[in-house]
Amino acid sequence: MNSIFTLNQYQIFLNNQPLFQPLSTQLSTGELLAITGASGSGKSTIMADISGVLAPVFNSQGQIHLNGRDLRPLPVEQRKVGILFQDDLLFPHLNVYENLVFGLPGKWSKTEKKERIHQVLQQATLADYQDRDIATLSGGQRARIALLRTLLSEPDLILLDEPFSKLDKALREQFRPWVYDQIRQLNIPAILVTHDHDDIPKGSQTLHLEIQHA
Amino acid sequence: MSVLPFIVTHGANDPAMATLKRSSVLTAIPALTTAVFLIPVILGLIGTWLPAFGYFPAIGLDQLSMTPWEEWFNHPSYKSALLKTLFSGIGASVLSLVITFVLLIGAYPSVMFQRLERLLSPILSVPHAAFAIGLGFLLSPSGWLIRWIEYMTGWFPVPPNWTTFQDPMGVSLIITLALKETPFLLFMSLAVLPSLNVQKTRWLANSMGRSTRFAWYWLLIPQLYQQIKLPFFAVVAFSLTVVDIALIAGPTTPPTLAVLITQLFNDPDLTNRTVGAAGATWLLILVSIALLIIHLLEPPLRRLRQWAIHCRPQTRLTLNWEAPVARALTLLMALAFAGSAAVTFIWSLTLRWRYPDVLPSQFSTLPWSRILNRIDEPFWCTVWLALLSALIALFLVILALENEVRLRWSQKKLNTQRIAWLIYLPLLIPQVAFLFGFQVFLIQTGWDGQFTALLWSHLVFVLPYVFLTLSGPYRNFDDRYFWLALTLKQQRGPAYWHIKFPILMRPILYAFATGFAVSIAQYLPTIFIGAGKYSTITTEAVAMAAGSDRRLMAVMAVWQQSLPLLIFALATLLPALRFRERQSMR
Repeated sequence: MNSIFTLNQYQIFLNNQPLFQPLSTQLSTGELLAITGASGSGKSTIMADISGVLAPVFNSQGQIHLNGRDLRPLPVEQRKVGILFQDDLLFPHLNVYENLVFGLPGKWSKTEKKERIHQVLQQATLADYQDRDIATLSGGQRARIALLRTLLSEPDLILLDEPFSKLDKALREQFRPWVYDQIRQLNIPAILVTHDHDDIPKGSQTLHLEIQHA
Repeated sequence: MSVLPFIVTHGANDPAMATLKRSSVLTAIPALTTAVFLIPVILGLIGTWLPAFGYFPAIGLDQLSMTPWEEWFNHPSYKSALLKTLFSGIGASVLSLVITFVLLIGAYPSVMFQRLERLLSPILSVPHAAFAIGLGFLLSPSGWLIRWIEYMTGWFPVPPNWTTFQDPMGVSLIITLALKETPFLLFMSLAVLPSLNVQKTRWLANSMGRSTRFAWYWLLIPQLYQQIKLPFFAVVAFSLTVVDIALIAGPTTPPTLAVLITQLFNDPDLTNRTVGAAGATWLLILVSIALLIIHLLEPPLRRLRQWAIHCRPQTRLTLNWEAPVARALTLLMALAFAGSAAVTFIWSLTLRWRYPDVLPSQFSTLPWSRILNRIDEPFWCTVWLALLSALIALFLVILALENEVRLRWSQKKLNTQRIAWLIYLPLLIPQVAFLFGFQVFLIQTGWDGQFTALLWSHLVFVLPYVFLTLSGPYRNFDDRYFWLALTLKQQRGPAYWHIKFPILMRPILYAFATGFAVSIAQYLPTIFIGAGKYSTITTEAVAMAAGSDRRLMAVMAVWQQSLPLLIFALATLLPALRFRERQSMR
């Protein structure tokens, strides 16, 4: 299937002023779109809008389609859009296993869920961490769990909102290829917001947002 | 650049645009919640004002007249009661505000304060009546304090002939009120202080050659006062109009205005109710005037601050008296609370305790067993009232706060300051000024003496406190957790129940416990709306305080203290147990 995700003549307005020129783009499975631009250019706002939580001060227009569905009328929970923030936002009252199982689709039985989580944790070299308290993990471990949690919920599209910006340089270099590898395995489109060009994998579409001046 | 014409705009105000907005059922919640606690106040005020002007058809008065007012101002006790009320009410509020500031100047931030902070919630949960009873046991001429002094010095072989409790000027009333209100003002201040950057402000002031005291007086306290103004107003209104504490610790002949009014409302001569109504309305006017004067003191004080800031820094050494005084005050307050709780408990297990022994000569569980056959009904009435009112309040408050989240995600602006004033309204209007009128309304609609009506009257006071306790933590919740939970789970219910609710479990349970304690402490609503059919541990305790048997009084006070303490203990233990393996949830 081609062009799984489409933005068509898409634009965001703040107080009736467009933040950037209308943009149109198409993504198919496994493709990544990187959005760069100065702060205030509307990068993260695009992510919020695609996810379904555009703050009320903004307006947006243009089509957002995912797998043939118009995302506009759908509430957050029906969009099947996963998101990864710069903060891991792991639920502090749940352990590693509970955090991961929370997003697993209900179609699986309990034992299947257990097996899947065991399997992904092993692949992420976190095999013995199932019962660990989130607060006892290192920053890198938390970042990996957060990505696994998003991927396990089987989204049709994944949004990466500066996911590496809070990690130190060494950790970032280690974490980055692993993230793209994981997303590639799921074979879904991804959108990355960043201001670090090193974050952008080779061969992906890049969009640079210019701040519009009224 | 060009601005494109809007052909198809999808924004948050487009109903098709579904964001974090919740279902439309929520939109009715703020109105419902407000109605729950404001309708009794409004109906009650009107129902009090009409009789105050002679219109009281229930007893055959249907002509407007000023007679009630004339009788009220000509009441033989009026003048003396007015003076005592103003002296004790204003005295207690100013004293508690000053103590709060001295404690902060002298000891914030410090290890002592961290310890004090943890003690505040059990102290706040002590019902007024129980505390006043315990303080009476401690301070009266034959009380525990004098017994200890006698034991150590031998100065008082017989109880001294001083009136140290229920004195005619109301000094013991001031002490009781100030001791009870200071922890409340401290609690409110401690919630605000982190946002004021105390240490950095002090540092900055010091680096400019100003003393730490200067930093507090002219930089920190003015900001802090603005933040705790509403709680302080509530303290003023409460101190001027309290009935239960005044009955136990206040002067008797004549009593304070609020007690006098309550007596008039319960007078067998029914026409005296119109006089009581006039008095109640007058008390409301007095409170309004007092608050207005306090409000009008702000501009001159602001000018004084301008002047102080322009003054050159003083270089002479100043005595740092606040720190030792703060330590002494803390010790005194701790002794007063611990001492009154201890002496109440001892009295409840006493068979014989003669002066000047510091401990009873014979202990017994007899007072407990004697009261058990008497307490059954009031006990369950108290527990049900407290549980149900706290639960209903919690439910309504959570829905109202969820509605705030919805409003944040639609275009409407949220005026939290206006909400705060609305919430404080039932705490600023004297209880006597509207409970009688609400009772009249209930009688006319045939709803008097019903448990549901009593429950409603408790909700009027429980709701605001639950809202005040929960709104801070609830508004601070990081919405992204919920948003993330929605993208992961793809269902709203589980996202709320498995993520948002447990993360907020501690403040939610704490708000419930606060509501429970507030209901336990209610005296006047049960007296008026219970219509003699319902009594609670609190009304029984106050009734017994007028009697002479200290042992029965003590048992009632112990019950009164232990119920809220038990709920607070549960509210602390349950999350601690559930999250014992979660470091960041501690």
